[in-house]
This record gives sequence, C-alpha cells and structure tokens, in this order.
Amino acid sequence: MSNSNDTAIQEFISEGNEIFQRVFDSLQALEKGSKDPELLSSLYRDMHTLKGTAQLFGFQNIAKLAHVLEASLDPIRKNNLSISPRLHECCFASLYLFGKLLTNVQNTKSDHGFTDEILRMTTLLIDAATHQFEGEITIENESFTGSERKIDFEKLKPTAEVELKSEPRKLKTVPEANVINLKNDLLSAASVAPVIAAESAPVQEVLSLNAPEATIRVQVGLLDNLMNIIGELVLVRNQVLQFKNKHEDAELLGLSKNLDVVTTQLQTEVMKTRMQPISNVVSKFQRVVRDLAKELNKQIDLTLEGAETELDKTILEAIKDPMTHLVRNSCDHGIETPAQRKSAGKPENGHLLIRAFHEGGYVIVEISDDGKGLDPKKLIAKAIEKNLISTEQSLSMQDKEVYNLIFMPGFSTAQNVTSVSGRGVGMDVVKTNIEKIGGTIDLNSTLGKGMTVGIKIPLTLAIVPALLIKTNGENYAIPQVKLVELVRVEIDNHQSSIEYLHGKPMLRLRGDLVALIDLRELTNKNFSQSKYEDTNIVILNAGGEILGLIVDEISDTADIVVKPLSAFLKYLTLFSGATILGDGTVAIILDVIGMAMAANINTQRTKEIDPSLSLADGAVKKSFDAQEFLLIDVGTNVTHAIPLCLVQRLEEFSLKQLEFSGKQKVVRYRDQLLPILDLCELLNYSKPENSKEQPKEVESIVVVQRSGKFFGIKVTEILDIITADCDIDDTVCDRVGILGNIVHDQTVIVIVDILSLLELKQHGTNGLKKNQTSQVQSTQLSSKNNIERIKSMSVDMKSKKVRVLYAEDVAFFRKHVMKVLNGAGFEVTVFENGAKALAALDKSYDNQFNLILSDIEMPEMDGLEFAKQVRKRNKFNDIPMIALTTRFKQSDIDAGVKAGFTSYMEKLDPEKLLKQVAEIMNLNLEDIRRAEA
Amino acid sequence: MSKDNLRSQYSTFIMADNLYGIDVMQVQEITKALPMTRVPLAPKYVKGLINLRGQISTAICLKELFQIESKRNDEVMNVVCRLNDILVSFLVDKIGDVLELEEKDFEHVPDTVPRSIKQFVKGVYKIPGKLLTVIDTEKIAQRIQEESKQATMNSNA
Repeated sequence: MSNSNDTAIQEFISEGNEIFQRVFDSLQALEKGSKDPELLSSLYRDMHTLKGTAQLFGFQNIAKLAHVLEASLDPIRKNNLSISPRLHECCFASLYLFGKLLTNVQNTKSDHGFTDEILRMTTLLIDAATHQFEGEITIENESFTGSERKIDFEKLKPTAEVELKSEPRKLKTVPEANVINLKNDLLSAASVAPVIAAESAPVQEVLSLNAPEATIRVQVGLLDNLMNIIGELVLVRNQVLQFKNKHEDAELLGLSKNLDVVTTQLQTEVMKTRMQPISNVVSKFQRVVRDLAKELNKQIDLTLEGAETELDKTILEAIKDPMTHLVRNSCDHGIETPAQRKSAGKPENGHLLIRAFHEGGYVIVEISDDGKGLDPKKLIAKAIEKNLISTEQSLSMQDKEVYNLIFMPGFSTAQNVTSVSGRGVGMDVVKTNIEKIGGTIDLNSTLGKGMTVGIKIPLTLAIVPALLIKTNGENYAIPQVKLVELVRVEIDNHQSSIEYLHGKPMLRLRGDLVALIDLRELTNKNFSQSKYEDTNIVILNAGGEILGLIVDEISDTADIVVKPLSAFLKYLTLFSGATILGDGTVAIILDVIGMAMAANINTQRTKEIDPSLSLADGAVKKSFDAQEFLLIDVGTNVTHAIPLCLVQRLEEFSLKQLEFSGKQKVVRYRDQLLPILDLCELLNYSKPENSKEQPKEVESIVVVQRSGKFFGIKVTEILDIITADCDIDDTVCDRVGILGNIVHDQTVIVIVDILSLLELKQHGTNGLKKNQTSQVQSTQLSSKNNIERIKSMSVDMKSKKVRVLYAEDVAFFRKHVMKVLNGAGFEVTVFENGAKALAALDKSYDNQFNLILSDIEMPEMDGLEFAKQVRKRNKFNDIPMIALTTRFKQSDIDAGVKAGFTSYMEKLDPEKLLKQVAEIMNLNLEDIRRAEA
Repeated sequence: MSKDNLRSQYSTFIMADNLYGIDVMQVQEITKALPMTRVPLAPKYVKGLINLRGQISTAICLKELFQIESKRNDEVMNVVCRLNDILVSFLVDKIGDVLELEEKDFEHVPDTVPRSIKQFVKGVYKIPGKLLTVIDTEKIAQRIQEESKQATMNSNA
C-alpha cells in the first residue's frame, strides 16, 4: 500500500535511524552498568514502535527482527532484571542488522535479503533470552519459537488483515506465565495497529509513542528560505533605523524602535530553529569508537562533554566529516594498544574526550586523547623525507610549527596504512573543510601524554561579525574571526614606521616582521606605491600566517549577512562573497586566505593558529628578558610607561560618561563602578602651566586590575606598545610610584609602579575614613615609612641566607620580585616556567633551595602542576612554596593549597611578600610584629 | 497554426541608438540606475554589484560585452534577468515599450553584423521604421560562464 509513497518511506527511514541511535545509546548505557529501568522501557518501546511502523510499510523482515528483540527484552523489563552480557551482545548484533536493513530500505525501497542473518539472529536472541531465564526455559522457549514462527511466515503481510488479527489470538493460547501474559497484552495492542493502518489513524499513535514532545518536521530548505528572508528584513530594519536618525519624528521613532525589537526577536528565534545540539553528530561517535576499538583491538572509552551545545545545522553538517576523521585518527594513531599502554604505565583503557563549549561567539570543539601524542622528531623526519620542508627549515621550527606539519597535503605519520587511516590524505582536508566554514583548527600535543585538537567554529554561517573598511572609495568587509588587530602607522611618530625589503613594505610589530600587502595593489594590478605615510593596517591571520593589509580607511564593525558572489565571479579568490550594509550599499567580503595567496604568502607554513595564542607564543619567542610596556603621556614632557602585563584594557570614555561618587570620578563599566584616577595627580606632578586648553572630548583610560578590582587610570594620551629587553634602572626614582627608568630608542622612559600607586590611593581613602582630618600628605609620609620599614626588615633577614627558586613567565614580574628579594639579601634563581624550574630542582644538591616561589599561569607547566610535581618528590616536601599570582578567587586559592602551596599571595606587593617570606622562614618575626605595631 | 499568428512579446531597450529586445518572460523587472559596488579584477563588462531589495545582482554592461564603442557613458536603466539562476542586471541607455511581434517579421542575423554582437543575437525583427535586435540571454550566460571557467583554470595554473 505504501511502497509507492517515497516521502512516507523517507519518514520511516529517518525515524528508523533515530530509533537506531536511541537504542544504541540505551544499550551502551546498560552495558556500562546503568540500572535505570527507564532505559530498558525506552528500548522496549522503541522496538515496539519500529515493529509497528515496519509492519505498516510492509517491511516484514524488520518487523520480525524488532518483534523478537522486543519479546526477548520483555521478561527482563517486566521482572526488573538486568540484561545478561550475552543477550546484550545479541542486541548489539541485531541492532547492526537493523542498520543494514534500513540502508537496504533506503536504497531499494524494500527490506528483502538478509533472511539468513535474521533467522540466525532471532535464534541467537531467543537462545540468549531463554538462557537468562533458566527457571522459565520451557515456557519461554515455546512462546518465543511460537511467536517467531508466527511472524516468520510470509503471510504476515500488513495487507492480509485476517492473518494479522489471528496473530494475537494465537499468541494468547500460549501457556500462561505472568511474563508472557503481560507481553501478549502489549503485543495484541501493537498488532492491531497495522490492521487499522489503512485508515492511517494509528500512525499518529505510533508516532506519538516515539515523540513525547510536540515537534514537527520541517524541510531544511524552508528554514533556509526563512533565514534568508529574515536576513533581508534585518537589512530593511537597518535602513529604517538610519532613515529615522535623519528625521526627528516621534511616531517614526517609536515605530522604528518596535520594528527593531521585533526583528531582533524574530532573528534570534529563527536562528534557534536552525540550531541543533552538537550531540546529533558526536553521539554517533560512541558507535564509531566502539567499532574502531574492536577492529583495532584496543580499549577506548569515549566521554562527551557539552554535547548539548548548539550549532547551526549547516555547520554541524560541515564539521561531521572532519570530526569523524579526527576521532578515527585519535583511535588509530593516538591511543596505543593495551599492551603498549601498560608498559608505558598508563591505564589499559585509552580515553577519548570530546568537549564542546561556547567561547566569545564561537563554539569550540576539542577532541583529546591520552595516547602517545605527536613525536616532533618523527614528524620532522617524515616531512624532510617527503620533501615538504628542508633540513635547515626544520632546525628553526617551534614545536607548534612542527605539529602543524600534519596539516600539509601528503603527510601521514602512521607506520602502516590501515583500513582506518594512514593513507596520507586527511588532515589537510580536515583543515580546509574547517576553514571553509570560517573556523580555525588548533593542535596541542605532549609526547607520550596525548594530543588535543581544538576546532573553533562560528555559531552560524548566515550572520558573521565583520570589520568594515574602505579602499579606493569602495566598502569591503573582513570577517572578524580572521582579524588580529588594527595598527595605525603615522609618519610623525618615529616609534614605528613602514620599512621596505626589496621594494615590499614590511612592518615591525612588537619585534616580529609582518609582511604588508596593499589592498589597492591587490585590487588594481597597475597600482604601485613606493612610499607610505600615515597608514591604516589591518593585521590578519591567514590560516596561521600573520599579514598586514594596508587599507585607506577603517570604518566600523557590523554583523553582516553573507551572500555568495555570482557563480561566474567565483573564480575571484580575493573575495568570498558580498553583503548589503545598513545604508543599502553592497560591500564585498574579502577572503583573507585568497589575499594571502594572491600576495604569494604561503599559508600552509603554519605558525600559530589561534590569534589568542599568538601573543603567548610571541612572548616565548622573544628573549628571556623582553618586557612589553605601554607608553603613555601623562602631560609632562617625559614619556611614561606601564608594564603591559598589568594592563587589562584600553578604553576611551566621553566626558558625558564620567560621574562622581563623592569626590571620586567614576564610570559605570561592566556592571561595576570604575574609579577614574588621574595618573598625573597620582604621581604628584604639577599640572603644566598651559593646561588651560579645553578639556578633551574623550578621556583615554588604562584599565588595570588589582585584587580583583578594576581601576581606570586617566592618562593624557596612549602612545604605543614597545618591547624592551633592558633592565629597569632604579638609581633615579624621584617620587613614590616610580619603579625606575628604561632607555628605549635613545629616550628615557619612566616606568610607573601602578600597583603601588593604587595601594597608596586605597590606603589613603581608608585613612580618610578613619580620620577625616588626615591629608593626602600624610598618606605619602606613611608610604615613605613603608619603604623604610621594608628596608629595615631586609636588613634583619640578611642574617639568615634564603635561597629562592622562582618560576615566573612574565619578565616584568620576574625582575620586580627578584629586585625585592635580592634587596632583602636573598639569593634568587629564576626560571620562565614550571618545567624548567622543576628540572633545575631535580638537579639541585641537597638544601640548595630553601624556598620556592611560583606563578600560577605559565606556559609548558603551570604553577599548580609544578607544585604537585614538587610535592611528589618526597625530598622536597619540606621546602615551603608560595604562589605569587593575580588569580585571587577562593577557588583558585583552594586549588593552590591542594596542589601543595604553603601560601598564596598577590603579585607585586613587596611588603607583603617579604613579610610572608619572613614568616615562613621564621625570620625575626618579633621585629616584624614590632614594626607593625 | 500558421506562421503569421505566432506572436512573442519583447521588452525593448536602446543602446547606442540601436533597438534591442529580450523575451519578456526572461525579464524579472526593470529599475532605474542603482548604486553599484565595483568588483575589482572582474571582467570589464562586470560593472559591479547592485542591491536589489536585499538580493545582490551582478551588473553587466552589454555595450562592453558587445564591444560597442560609445563615447557617452549613459547607461541609466537596469534590465534585471535571471540567467541559469544567476541574477544579473543588464545596463542599458534607455527603456522602450514592450512590443508584441509576429513571427513573420523575424529574420536571422545578417552576416555583415560584427561577430562580437552576432554571437549573442537570436535574430532581427523588421518593425516599421526600425530593426529590433533580439538578444539571446542563453548565449550570454554561456559566454560569461565559459570565461569564468577559463579564468579559474588560468588562476590555478
């Protein structure tokens, strides 16, 4: 009756697949020992549904199998027993058979074939089921064979109503055991369904069994259309809003506001319809991993985290294959055989973790295994062997660059080509596919410990945040995901300028050479410019390679709706599409990879992928002592600088935003009040005579964080960021709040000790609260006392030799703390991360160090891991460890203490640091107490 | 049905003082000149992208495509067509009436017409006082797609 009805069959198949997945999940959970009775019931229900629908469509084979499976599970469900391993295995096997049958249905519209397998499977199932119920063998056996026979015949065609009706009757004649009776009731209910099916009413009933929630299936194409129309509505809305700005009509204002709200709502709701949980893709991996593990004779557990994270359906489809590839890779190459794992001292069960989470408008999916990780040496050898890189190149490569070799076309490290992977294609395809949907891929690996592949993907393809720029009078859009930073080079500013290498413009960006390409040159072959003056540069990340794009003007940021270029313009690889801006004009979307290729920049030679990583990476690349400073003008004729590691953000506030709390200037900032402190006043500089000029429209504010609170430091102008690798010279320090001076480009730059200034300020206000009459002067005096106190403390401590091992990755803190400790007469040995410090500690002779200081956030090995490792080695158990950090939440402190730190304190507080050290080292506590009193 | 009764409707327009026509069924709409965004590196006849109520249409200059010399740059109207699912706007000087023409007036293109134009032309209608050149949009679509293919191959090479 229904074989002609293709759409109906399609429905059946998609529902069958859903059931298949659900049953698989339930079986898996049961295998892991879950005792949830609901699992079995749902399994049972699903089989029942499948049987019903299969019969409805005339797929007797499927129906038969479903029936036997259902019947085998029934006694277990009824008696609340747990499923036996044997029966469990049979269930899995029959599930796979279902899979085959479903595929068959999809291809041929019939479920013929596999008759033998089905027969074998049913026998096995009955056998396994009866085996579990030894007490009821006879009855069960009879009933099962009975029922099987009944369903087995060819006459069980849904069209043959009489036969079907006869089935429940016959079943009822089976000897009555409780179990069977109950089952029969259900059976009879089910088999009525196909009978009335001709009137199609029970279809609903069958479906409703399956879908307790009120959902309807909609064609994806329809949603796509809807999405497109919404996209256009958004554009019209934008135009109306712009129009409104020009006309001051109250009614129009109100209406357009309503339109705005409704459109936004509509947009979010329609976006939601396209969102699907990532579990739709990743839950299938349970099966993939299970199968692979069997095939490869490995033991692999898969854990899914954040499977409920939602992604646009198109993107979900697009990441399915790359992810499958990555999972298979991990199983095949990453995780070792149980024997290998045992000998490596790891648990025999390999562990694979798929984690999905939201981060800044993107979804990040991480696939990590605890396998053997990537071996940089092997990778290099292979790459050289395959002529992908030269030997010289390999010498200068960072580990990260080496790992990224596997993304090169024609690269495969597997020793053997297996059916699973190792054919040398794949990772490059994975990378291209991920980049095609505007995502990035990142790889981390520790040899012997495993590796993690992170995929960063946009939530949706339809609407992307973009930077709008102008060149040659035309608007262009650049997707934000490719954007690293914006740089303006001014000819008057001698701090940075464009240099020329064989006629090609280059920019020195914090010590790195960045190749510049001119958008005018890219878009106009006859264009050439030999000298640049004031230039706007957009720093972009093209598949890991950083490049600078010279543009005429940087306009704005906007959420754009991406539309493809006409098919016959697709060959223009510079562009990835077009979009309509708020004012109705069309802007072309630039393809960053395409531009890099047009400029002959090799995007395959990947350095670092995640722009957020580039800073950390850059810091490692730079010399051990390099420090970055934010150059500021405070209204004096000397340039001042703040260590960049202390700066949270740079902000501009208009005068309108400034408010007062008492006498304190404040700005509402991220749901809290940001006190605005004038650096010029903090440093006690006198205002320049000619400061009668009008106050500026906007104030430049440097936001710094201290003890978890934000402070806004008002400066006259923010100049630049420089990297200096010279020492801070503290011989000239004419006032409180100055750390010292550095010399950069032949000019003296004053380094501001911003944290001390903030502390002074806070103490000052506290003092004011206690004693209304006290003056700012006295705070300054007390701070001088503080310094004296520190000095006296230091003298006392010199009596006992303290040898400190200090791990800290930021050069600034390293120097600062070293200076404080050295000043107190301690011997300090510094290391830039936990791993190096640990190695040094291991090599040290007995009692070489009697105090360990460590930062928490460090590359390679963080402070927590460092502390754990130190505490693992019994001989260092007595060395006190102090964590010096900016992370100061209770949970952080707890974690630190758990890892083995003796105490936990804030960076850059010399007095507290010395006090703490003294306390821990039992140094002249009396003196300190006296000093405190 | 006799040949005389076959009638077709053509949307007509004028370029460089010549009258052209496109089958009315292929024309989606006619609009006035709209702001255009230039597409760098595109073929010369691609004048830019036009926002057509939220749809992006590619503007093609027929004079450029037909290699018609014209001193004036006075294309002010868009004839919007959908060629193989690609939305294009033909830029023309002036819009004429929609004419209903009889098959009996139809002629093939005389051989003396320059090849650059002839390749895109279906034929000619003899209407009182003037001749109407019927444009074959299929051929135009074919041509621009071929050129794009060629360009893709060149850029890959």
